[in-house]
Amino acid sequence: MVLLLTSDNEMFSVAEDVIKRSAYIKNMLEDVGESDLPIPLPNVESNVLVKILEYCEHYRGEPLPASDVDPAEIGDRSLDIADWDQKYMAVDQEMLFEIILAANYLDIKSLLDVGCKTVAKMMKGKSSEEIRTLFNIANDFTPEEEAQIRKENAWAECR
Amino acid sequence: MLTSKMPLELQLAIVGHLDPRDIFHLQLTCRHLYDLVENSAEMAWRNCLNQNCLRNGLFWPSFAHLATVAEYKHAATAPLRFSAAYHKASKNNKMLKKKRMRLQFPAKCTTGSTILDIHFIPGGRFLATFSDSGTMDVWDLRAAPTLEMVLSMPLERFRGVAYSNVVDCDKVHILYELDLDIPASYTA
Repeated sequence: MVLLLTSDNEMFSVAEDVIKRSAYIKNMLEDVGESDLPIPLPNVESNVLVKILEYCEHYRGEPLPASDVDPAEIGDRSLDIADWDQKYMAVDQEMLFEIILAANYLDIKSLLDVGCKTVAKMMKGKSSEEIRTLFNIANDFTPEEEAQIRKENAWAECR
Repeated sequence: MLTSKMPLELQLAIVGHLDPRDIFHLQLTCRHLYDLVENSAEMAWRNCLNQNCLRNGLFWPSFAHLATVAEYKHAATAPLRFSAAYHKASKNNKMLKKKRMRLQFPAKCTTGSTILDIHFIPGGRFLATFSDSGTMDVWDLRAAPTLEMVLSMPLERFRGVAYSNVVDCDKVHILYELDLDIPASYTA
């Protein structure tokens, strides 16, 4: 078992093969070896870690992805998301971003990918105004600037 | 939270999943997101272009000469700019402006032989010609109308191209017919 200490000082005891989906923890365990000391996760709160562990638990036993994948590599970036992942990601926006941040920090590539896809899917087919509302983004363009950018990109207006 | 708490590389990872039109709508939401994409080196538009190649069977090396953000954006939005121009023209009952160009094959490559068939490789940069001297030549159209030969393969008893397809973005399969009525396949 591996001990994890969250930012709000909660201790979690997790099976090694579950948490090894996190490349960050996997590498740490390999570097440090067996230890009774908890691994501090100062960037992850307990409610988020619970969610992360749910993901790792679900994919327990599945092969870990290769670690040497080049992000610039050609690959399909379709927005297809597996059913279970979709249900897993059906959380409020704040939690969604917390999951993405934690997946990035813990280096769980597949979860990070699903998280980014989920956010991209929320933006898909929406107007700028709809995206602003959805993500609470303040428009800091002047109307003239906005008109100018639209003019330069007339291709985007036509459907 | 999208712009305030997420590191730039994650914001870009999200953009990496979007189509050109969605990227543009996102850019128009605020200055920060506009600059994010414009300053992302060529990454965001390069991803778009790459996806376009994967989905539409275009030959990715056709774009290997691109380097700047503007060039990648131009190429990634080309299909949308074309369809916007088409819609605009047809609304006004006009035809799209045609652009004609006479290609110049280097004389030493073509004297004494006749081209039997030509074939565009999807992506727009490469042209394959099949000549009766028994070769398939691949030409780079980048400096058109001047052509540069990039590949010349002997090809016996060629009759005509039956089918071609781009596979995995970086391979072109050409199925051609032989003079003996026996179809054979050829991969370049």
